[in-house]
Amino acid sequence: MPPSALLEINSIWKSYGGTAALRDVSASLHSGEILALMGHNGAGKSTLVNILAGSTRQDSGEIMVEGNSFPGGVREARAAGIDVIYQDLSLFPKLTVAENIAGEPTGRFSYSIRAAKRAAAAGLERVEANSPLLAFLDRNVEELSLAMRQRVAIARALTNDSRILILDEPTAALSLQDTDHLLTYLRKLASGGVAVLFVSHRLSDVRRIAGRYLILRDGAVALSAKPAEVSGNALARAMFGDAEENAAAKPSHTADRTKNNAMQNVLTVRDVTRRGEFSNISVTLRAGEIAVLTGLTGSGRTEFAESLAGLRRFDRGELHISRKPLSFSGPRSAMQHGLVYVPEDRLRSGLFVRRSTAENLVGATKHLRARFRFLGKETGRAVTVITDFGIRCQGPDSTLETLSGGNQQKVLLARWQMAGARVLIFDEPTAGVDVSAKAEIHKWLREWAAAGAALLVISSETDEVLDVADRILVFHAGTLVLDGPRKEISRAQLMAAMLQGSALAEQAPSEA
Amino acid sequence: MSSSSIVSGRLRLSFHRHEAKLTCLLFVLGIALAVTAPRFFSSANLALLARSMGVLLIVSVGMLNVILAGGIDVSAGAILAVVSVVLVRLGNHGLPASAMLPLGLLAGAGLGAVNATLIAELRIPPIVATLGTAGLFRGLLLEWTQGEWESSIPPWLNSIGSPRWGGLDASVLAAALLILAAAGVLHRTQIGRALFRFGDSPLAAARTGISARQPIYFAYISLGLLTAIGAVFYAAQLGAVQGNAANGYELTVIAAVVLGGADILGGRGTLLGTFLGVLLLCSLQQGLVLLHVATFWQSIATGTIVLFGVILSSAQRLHQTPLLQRSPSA
Repeated sequence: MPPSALLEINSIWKSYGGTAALRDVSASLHSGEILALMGHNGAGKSTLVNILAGSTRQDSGEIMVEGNSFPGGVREARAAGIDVIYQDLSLFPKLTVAENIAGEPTGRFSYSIRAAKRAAAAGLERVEANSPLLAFLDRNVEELSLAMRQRVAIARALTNDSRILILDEPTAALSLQDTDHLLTYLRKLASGGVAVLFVSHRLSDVRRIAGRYLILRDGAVALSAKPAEVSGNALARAMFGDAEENAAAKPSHTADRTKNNAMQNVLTVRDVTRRGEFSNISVTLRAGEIAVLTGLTGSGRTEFAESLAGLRRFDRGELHISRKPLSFSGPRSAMQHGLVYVPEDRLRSGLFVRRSTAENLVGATKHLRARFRFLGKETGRAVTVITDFGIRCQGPDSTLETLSGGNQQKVLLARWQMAGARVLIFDEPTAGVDVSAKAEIHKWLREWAAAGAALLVISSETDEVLDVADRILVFHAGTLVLDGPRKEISRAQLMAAMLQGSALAEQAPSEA
Repeated sequence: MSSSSIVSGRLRLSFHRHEAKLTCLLFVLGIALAVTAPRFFSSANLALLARSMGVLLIVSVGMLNVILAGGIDVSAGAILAVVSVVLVRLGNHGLPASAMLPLGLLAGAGLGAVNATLIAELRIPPIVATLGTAGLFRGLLLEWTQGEWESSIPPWLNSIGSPRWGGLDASVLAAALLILAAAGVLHRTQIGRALFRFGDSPLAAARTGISARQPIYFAYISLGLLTAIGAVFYAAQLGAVQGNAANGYELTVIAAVVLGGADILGGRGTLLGTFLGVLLLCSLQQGLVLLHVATFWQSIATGTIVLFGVILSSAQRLHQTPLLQRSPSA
């Protein structure tokens, strides 16, 4: 390792409206090194990446590239040799590979497509002998496979003389084989002197490639070490926090509920599969129980939940509701069978933010009850609901965009609770809401379960999983790796299952 | 290496696929016209066809710029009317061509700049912004003219519009030169390529450091300018103008560009396609006139062919040649 770092991050702070996204983050990246940046959702990875990309500016702290201070700005980042390859790749799909690689023409009147092609070919030759892209220079990027597109994005960065390559979740959507190719390729690039910052959730990929780990938690550096120095447990603790095991503090509600209900099976899926997303999942949801489904981003948990709700279709497998085999033709038919899915992105796919609170609460589900009847006045009913659920707003006519995030989420949950569903699926019901709203939402979930509904809650927050669940389900890389009662699962087991798909926390991870 | 040459060979065949389909469509139309209305291919009629295409081509090239950048401009007809009336009215008051032509072009570019400002600075969606300015421009024009006809045009304008070179006029020459110029700008300059990039993916454009304003200004001002040039020939050919001139013209222009294979969402489109789109529309119209088909049937036929052309180009994308699912071998 050369003595001086290519990229030096010195004590970066950044906050968004009172919430600290990055707290005193320092790191360095050397030429030829592959640094894995890891962290849970909301740990601050994206913020750090955006700052390095020049699209966000830090509140304080300094970034040095090859000893020079980096001022921020997208163009400046490129000029300094930093290139971020986002998950969406930021390519121009309707333009050719050559035009994408050749990038921005420099002279005002000097551009030509043929020159771009020559430049791209020359650039490719320079950065990689016999690049597979040479055969596709004239094709539009939209015609290429994802792995090839990714290669285009990398080639664009390299021909642009970038020496610091930041890849954001590059393997998230790749097949195993393409992942292999990519990792090998990145190793080759690193041995040629490129510095790689590899942002990923996938521990299995990180293990194979990283020369050093940088783990963020709650905006601060939780761990920075070489793979050989870190055990799997230490890694898990760094990512999820080392709150001590508190299984004893199990809320008593579970016991009560178990007694009151005969734990009737409400929904059963058997061996359901969607190619490329999840495979052979068998799960039963019972009345009166809260099952919490967790897993890292990209583990297929949201895809699974959306398929349950009829938003996607299973390729294979069966679904039973109350022992009747069913196949939903869409979300409407799922709702008619008493199954409701509340998406994570409440603003985009949950609520009608420009409409009134009353309409969102009552009107939004009316079509399920009365297809051809005139819709009656909804305000009266809404007022009751607003009081019952403690939703803070300026009356039922206030538009939803005027409510706080927590109250918006309450509206969304209240809406579906009132719709009288037997199976409720909530995707991250407490994401982005404040602490008090969160506690209230948790309380509701327990009440609804106690009233006999079957709940499936998706959450990536370990504490929430342990706190709310009667039963825990863990997805890893599209398979169900853990399914058991909360009482029998320890925090360590949960984290191990999330990270490496193994239910055994004690199992020592192989050193990379 | 042989496999790569096969790929590029196939590419060359499919590169202008939509344009190839349009050409086939043109051939079919040509054969039908040759049978039913042989007079269509007389040199006098072809010259007439060329003259009828000139203005539409010029404005369409501007509209292509706007559509490439992911925008739309429904005020083009109003801009055309404003500039024509300004040219004729002030020209009739005795202002010379040397003053009037620059003034007209400036007016067109200025109105385009108004659109661009609304869209780039105030972030108003293009369809709304230009719908508003269309009403505004035309209303102000009608207020100014009080709905009166300018039934004569200044002599210099008349001479611009008079047929020469075997029935062709200056609009044909101007259209040809402007297409060449547009080809140069679109393909050889930084701003031209930025139009494609910005229209294709504004997010990716921003991340590569392309200005979020420059392409918008360029597109709408160039459309305004080209519309003003079109207006010179429009007034010259008609010989009389009034405030309601070119009502709905923008729709014909958009139809021609879209028929030519431009992606209404931006980022994709060619000058050749636009040319073929204009040629197809004008030939159809001219042919139906020769056949003494009632006007409403002309409109039905035009609408049908526009839809047909668009289906052709989107069907191509729906059933796109199977993705190159090749993975890179490291």
